[in-house]
Amino acid sequence: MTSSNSRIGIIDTGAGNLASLQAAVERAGRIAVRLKTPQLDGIDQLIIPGQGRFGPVMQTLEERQWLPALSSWFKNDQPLLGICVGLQVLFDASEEDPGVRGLGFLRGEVRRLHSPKQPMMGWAPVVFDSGNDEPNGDAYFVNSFVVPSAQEAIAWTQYGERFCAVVRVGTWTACQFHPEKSGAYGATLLDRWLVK
Amino acid sequence: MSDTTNTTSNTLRKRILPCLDMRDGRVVKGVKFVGLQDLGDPVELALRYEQQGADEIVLLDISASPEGRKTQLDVIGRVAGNLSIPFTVGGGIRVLDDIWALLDAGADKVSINSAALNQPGLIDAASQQFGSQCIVVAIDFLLAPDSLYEVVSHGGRTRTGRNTRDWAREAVQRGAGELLLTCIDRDGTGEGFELGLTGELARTLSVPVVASGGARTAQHFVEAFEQGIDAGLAAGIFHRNELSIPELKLALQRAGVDVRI
Repeated sequence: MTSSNSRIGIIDTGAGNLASLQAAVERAGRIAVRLKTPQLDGIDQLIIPGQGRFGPVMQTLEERQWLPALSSWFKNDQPLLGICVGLQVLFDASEEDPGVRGLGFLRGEVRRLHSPKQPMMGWAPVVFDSGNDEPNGDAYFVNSFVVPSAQEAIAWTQYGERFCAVVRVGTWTACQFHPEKSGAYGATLLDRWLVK
Repeated sequence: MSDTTNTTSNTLRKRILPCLDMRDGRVVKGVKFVGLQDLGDPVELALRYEQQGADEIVLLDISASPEGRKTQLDVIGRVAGNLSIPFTVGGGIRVLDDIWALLDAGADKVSINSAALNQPGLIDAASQQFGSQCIVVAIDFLLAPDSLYEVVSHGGRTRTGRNTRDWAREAVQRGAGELLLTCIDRDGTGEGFELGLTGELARTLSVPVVASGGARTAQHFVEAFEQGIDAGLAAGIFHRNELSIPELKLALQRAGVDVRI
């Protein structure tokens, strides 16, 4: 693992425990900073963590003034990593909470996953499209909702149906699985996806 | 978009779950016997199993005292800070605040047993507040000769008169996100998992089912996965090095079981 002084801001969406994610960022040799509000001085990259459901996460982001901050972060192509619901809120809307607007940086809608068992919970293969310099591997998923298809998708997973495992636009990467819970494979991806 | 989906599957990998019995912040073995043997630090043992390829870790707290339970929260924090695979914590959960404390300390899932039987509404409340994905309902049952499959509580000491099939269905309806089924008659025997009822529930319920109790050989796991069971839990065979997780997974792969290697 590389070590660097880059500062990774983990957005506290008020929806659960961030200890595992913070520890994973620190194991990757980066500095983790928890942010309730957009205190972005000295922050090199943001993470929208994978805890909680679509509606409440959007509500918290709005209440804590993250919407304008994320818009200018996006406009300036400053790096961001979204995890699980942190991928989903980048899109327009979700079947999980109809009527709630997502951040809308990416076009598309989050839908219920038609899977053999719900929620999807466990390890499944992540397969990148050819031409991506990323390793395939098994990752840990915990979700009932997915983005079935998106222009920005670069990796896919199948459970009952096929869905986006990873999306990428500019310096923004988001994954439907939990890299912080995906063992050595997840650590490899985090090391690649967190800015040096 | 790529069409290269041939390496993806339509099911999740079958999971192997080592279980650590924890007492006052240490891993112990010999629960049923008088002399508890200290096996070491939970964090070290959990990490060793992670490195060997365990898919999740289950920590079962058997502390007898409130002090022991407080120690447990420290341990969970340390496990969360070191482990990079999911872990479930069970034992001694009575009320919603206990669940909150464990999740807040960093547990990915909590496992409820006797408290859910005494107060089934706890499953509804917990799954609504924290999400089904982190609420595991553990059911201990007997292989009664009349096929009642009676549920027992309090570590197998108390008979409940309840049918496991009914209780499993109710737990799922109330919001359990996973069931952990332990056949008490098989526990510690090395005769293999109970496959009849456990397999039936795994095939018919909408949530993952974990089999526990009785596994000794790789073949026991193969049989469970062939029945549709989603995950297999064991303790002693792993702790005593009778079966290592790498050799188990290799044997499963050779038998055609979809596992994470």
